[in-house]
Amino acid sequence: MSIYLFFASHRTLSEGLANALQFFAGDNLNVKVLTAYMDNKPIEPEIKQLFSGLTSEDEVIIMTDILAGSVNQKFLPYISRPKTHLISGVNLPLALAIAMEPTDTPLEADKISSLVDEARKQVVYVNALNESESEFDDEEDE
Amino acid sequence: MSVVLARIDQRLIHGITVNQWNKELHPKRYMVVDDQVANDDLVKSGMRLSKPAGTGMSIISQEKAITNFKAGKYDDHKVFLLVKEPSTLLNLIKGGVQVPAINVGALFEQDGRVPYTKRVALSEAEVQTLEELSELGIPVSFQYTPDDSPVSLDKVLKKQK
Repeated sequence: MSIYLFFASHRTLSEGLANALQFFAGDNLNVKVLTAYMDNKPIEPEIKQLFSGLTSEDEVIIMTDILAGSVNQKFLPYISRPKTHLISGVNLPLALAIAMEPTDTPLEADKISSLVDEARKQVVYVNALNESESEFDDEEDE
Repeated sequence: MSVVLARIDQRLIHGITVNQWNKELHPKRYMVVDDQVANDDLVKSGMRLSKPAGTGMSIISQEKAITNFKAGKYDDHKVFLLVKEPSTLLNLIKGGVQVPAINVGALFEQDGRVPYTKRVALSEAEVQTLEELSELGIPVSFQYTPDDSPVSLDKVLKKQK
């Protein structure tokens, strides 16, 4: 059983994300990338191609760029496949969190949900980071 | 009749249509007219994921659309009409649906189509249909997003020749 991470987006966002992920998490991940609409052709054949070479035991976690997009929509039929998870609006913290999970057992749906919740919190307006959070700056000089 | 714009876009409901065009047109209803999609629950549910808050979304067959428009079902609100191909629009208009303008957004290069713009490829039959629509007095222009400058059908066809 292997865990595959599919990154799919309009054009090269997916490729960049996968590239950045490998910078952090190393090259041992099973990553496949789909950069949609680099030409003016429909993407269904490209999507189908991603699943070739996988066994029915393999888990697939598909991460797309945007919920409303046709890239995400075209993956919907595949979530009826066992152990196939679709996440849209992926950010690097989420990709990283998923890549860091143990690969000997498949990820469960509630685990993925909680990783998604955590990753949402990683979208931060840094200027507005609450100063009161540094109340407990315990700076002792002696 | 309340269609504000009819758009030909093979991807139908997607980011560009529900974001940029939404800001431009402020439709109350997105109407996808396509016989095949109207019968595909999975594709329909995918499209409904993208529906902007506060709008309605109809995904119906050509026949239903004609019947409903004729019955005045959409008279009191703005409708953004979306179809996959020019022939669908021609059928709707011949069936009595009033369309003020046609936007050619995106058609893939497949099935014997020839590219005309970066986003639109057309077969000979489709070119003829677009010309027929234009002859009915409806302005036909090519524009992928509202920020792009619209290019008239005449200009696009001339460039190719």
